[in-house]
Formats: sequence, C-alpha cells, structure tokens
Amino acid sequence: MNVTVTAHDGFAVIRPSGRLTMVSAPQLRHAVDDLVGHGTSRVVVDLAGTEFIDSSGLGSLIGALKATRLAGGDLRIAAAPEQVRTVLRLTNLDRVLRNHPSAETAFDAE
Amino acid sequence: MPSEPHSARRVAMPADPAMLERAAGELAAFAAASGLTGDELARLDLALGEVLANIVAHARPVGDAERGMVELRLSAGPDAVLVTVEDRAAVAAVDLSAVSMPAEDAESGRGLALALAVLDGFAHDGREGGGNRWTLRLDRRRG
Repeated sequence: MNVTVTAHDGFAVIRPSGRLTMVSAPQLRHAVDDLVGHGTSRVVVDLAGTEFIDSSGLGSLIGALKATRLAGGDLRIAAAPEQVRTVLRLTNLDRVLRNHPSAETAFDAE
Repeated sequence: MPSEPHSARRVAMPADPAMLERAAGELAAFAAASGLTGDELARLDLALGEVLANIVAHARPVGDAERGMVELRLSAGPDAVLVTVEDRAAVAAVDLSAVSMPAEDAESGRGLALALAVLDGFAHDGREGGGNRWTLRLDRRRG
C-alpha cells in the first residue's frame, strides 16, 4: 500500500492506495499522527484508491478520527468504493465515518 | 463463466503478516478458475483476511516450536464454497457464539464479527494437543 499526503487550504488529504489491512494500517495511522503533530487536525482520507479494507484498517481510521478530534479537528472520509462502504455499514460505522463524495468538498459547510 | 461442478486448491504458507496478501492472491485466482461471483469473492476475501489476521495477531506456538505454517484449502461445488484454514498453534480461546460488533469508538475487535456477518457458516475447532481449524462457508445462490 502507498500513502500520499497533500496540503489544502485548511485541511490535508491522505490517499491510501491498495489494500488497507493489518499490514498497512499503521502507515495510515502514522500519517495522521504526523499531521496532527505538526498542527493539521482537519484531515480527509480519500479512499478512492483503497480497493479493500478490513477490521484493522477500520481500527486505524477510528484511532485517527479520535486523534484529530482530540486536537480540535476532525477526520472525514471521501470517495469510498463499494467494498469500503459495505464494511462500514456492516460494522455500524457508516454514521461516525460518513462518506463524502469528494475529498475537496468533505469539509464544506453542510 | 466457467462453472466446474467441483474445484479445489490447497496451499501452505508461513503464518506471518505476508500471508494476508498471498492468501488474497490465491483466493482471487481460485475464484477466477472456479467461476465465483464478484460478491462471493468479496465476502470470502474479507472473512479469510480476518481469520488470517487473527492468527497473525493471536496465535501462540505449542511448546517451543517455531512459528508454524498455515494450510489453506479452497473448494467450490454447486451448492457451497468452502474455505478451511488450519494451523498448528495452541488452541485459540475463541467462542464464535459470543462474538458481537464492538462500539463505534473501538479500535479493534471487529474482525470475527465481520467474518460472521458475511459468511453463511463459520466454525472454529481446536484439536487436542494443538492446532486450530477454521471453516468458512458460503452457500451459493442460484437462479
């Protein structure tokens, strides 16, 4: 799995690509902790390139969500493919991690 | 779509984190060769990954044996797809009837609950003296 991070106006976007499992989940968590540590606590995880997520991947998203909120920010997800949306629904996480259509608009006023 | 009445594949691999990717590749190849639907493959991919992750995270060797091998068996017939996973580790303290989905803020503990949610049959058996067998079953919807 690859993780790329880009800075935007007021938030950062993380794009994990490939399979987000126990092997790769620590990478995502590290990327978010790094952003929060450097003062960016509004984070979008763009899942368009995440072809598969398991419970470890979900756990890293929940841990990252808590880390951003603790720092006064928030974590939002965007562009989740069907497999990811299915797993979010099965775990009842589709409300706490609501999927936004695009990373660019995930922090727009609702 | 090829639909052989029965097809089977068996593969053994070391019980380490790399087996997650390897097993997913084996499963995808088996699915293509056996005519599994995209939905069947997606459900098995998730459930098998969770079982293997559970083994990587929790398996304890028996005695001073080195970290063991995991054997994967895949078979597909007209009525069901079966996946069995066997290891030689100490019998895992697992009670699938007691598994439930954890709360929203939990960072772990969803794996076996997810596997239960997508499978039609899911069992864990421990063998006396060591060894675990996980059986994953999907019933095939016809028509």
